[in-house]
Amino acid sequence: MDGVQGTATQSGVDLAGAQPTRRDALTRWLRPVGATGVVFGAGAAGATVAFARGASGLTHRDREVLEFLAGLEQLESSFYAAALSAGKLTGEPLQFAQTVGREERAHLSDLVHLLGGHGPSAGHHRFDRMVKSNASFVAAATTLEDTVVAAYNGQAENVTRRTLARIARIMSVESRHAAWARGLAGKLPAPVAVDAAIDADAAMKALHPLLGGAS
Amino acid sequence: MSVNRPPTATATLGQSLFDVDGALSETAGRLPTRGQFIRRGGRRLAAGAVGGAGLALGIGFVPGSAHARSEREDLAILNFALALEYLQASFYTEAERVGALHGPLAQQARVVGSHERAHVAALRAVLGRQAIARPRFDFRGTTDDPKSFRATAVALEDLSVGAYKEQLPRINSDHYLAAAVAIQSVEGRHAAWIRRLAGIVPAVNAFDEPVSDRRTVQLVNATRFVTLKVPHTSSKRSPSFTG
Repeated sequence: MDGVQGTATQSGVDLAGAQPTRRDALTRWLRPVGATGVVFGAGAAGATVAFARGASGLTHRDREVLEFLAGLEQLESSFYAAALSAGKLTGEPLQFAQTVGREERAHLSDLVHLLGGHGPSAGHHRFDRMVKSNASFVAAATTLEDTVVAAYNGQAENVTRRTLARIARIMSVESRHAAWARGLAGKLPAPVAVDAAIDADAAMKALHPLLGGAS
Repeated sequence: MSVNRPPTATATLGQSLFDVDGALSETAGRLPTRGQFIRRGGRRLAAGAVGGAGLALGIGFVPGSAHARSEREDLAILNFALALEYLQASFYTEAERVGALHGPLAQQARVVGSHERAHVAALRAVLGRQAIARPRFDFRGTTDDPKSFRATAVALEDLSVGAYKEQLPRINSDHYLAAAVAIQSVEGRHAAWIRRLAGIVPAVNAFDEPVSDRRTVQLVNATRFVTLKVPHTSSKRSPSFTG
């Protein structure tokens, strides 16, 4: 997943180079729900209306972003559940799958709670190829976690600061997961001084290999 | 590798108590208060889309305007972040210079040190003449052996994660926010990296909670790592210890 990482070198950071993430890319991706493999729950559109004046105080864009992020958490949760049920993991990769899987579920339920109880429905992914050994699992987890980190970073500006305060508690935990996965894969846990931020399109592109036949 | 041992709390930083009115408390004193933070929503609306212009250099101040105020608040946050980055950068630079680390730990100090120095350089570039000067540090032997280094690095990185988290939603400018987000994300990686090398769970909780300015300052002061009160403005004089 080095492609998602490198917009900065270790020696030089350009704060001006941090790319704002365009909203249109997010909505463009969200519109054809289902086509990409992260399927949002029935009534994703209806829910926007139904909860427009919910106690949550979320803006329409907050909701779009949270739905996108919940989709990523759903994907992560499914991946770790599949890895554990395949029963091929041992040692630290097994501990990683158990710990991180539990945390992704907690993230998902936090986001779903924020969304007023409407979360993504479980996608139908085939992770078989990726969970058949420690090595394949760790490689897939690295791609997944690095992409999720960049995807969260890309949405920070798209939500209200109030919603940001809520999801910021998740962001650095995803970074921790990514670093742990990379360490297991024998890669540098933190390859660059400044992590990339990507929009939803780029995230889906990066996740394409994991989504396999679903897209 | 076993990663089952209980986590080291950031309280490791509090081994020694000795209050130093150092860089961090000074930068923290300039941060927006919580009340200001809560009121900001209205101001942001009033300020409209002004935020885009003149951000990169912090120029174009209009004294008294909402934009000037929001820029001033942001620069206070960036200086607070700079103080933390100075601390970390200097710690790793000294660890490298002392040379007591080997293998994966030496690699961690080298790579993470280069990141923290890059963060310092980036923040200084944005802050320009408003950047606080680098304080002097005395790491009190924690860079002299792998065990102390590891424990201290875990505490510093976990603290950095929590401190950034507290500040993120307070940042007015989207431009600065993007930069701070990209940095905090790397701090999360650093924390996980050193925790794993220390044999403790890299991601022990599902949520990283924010650490308040006051708490951050308390924890850093408790280390007595900061030994020199920092002037309000940066000086041309080169610091005695460059990290």
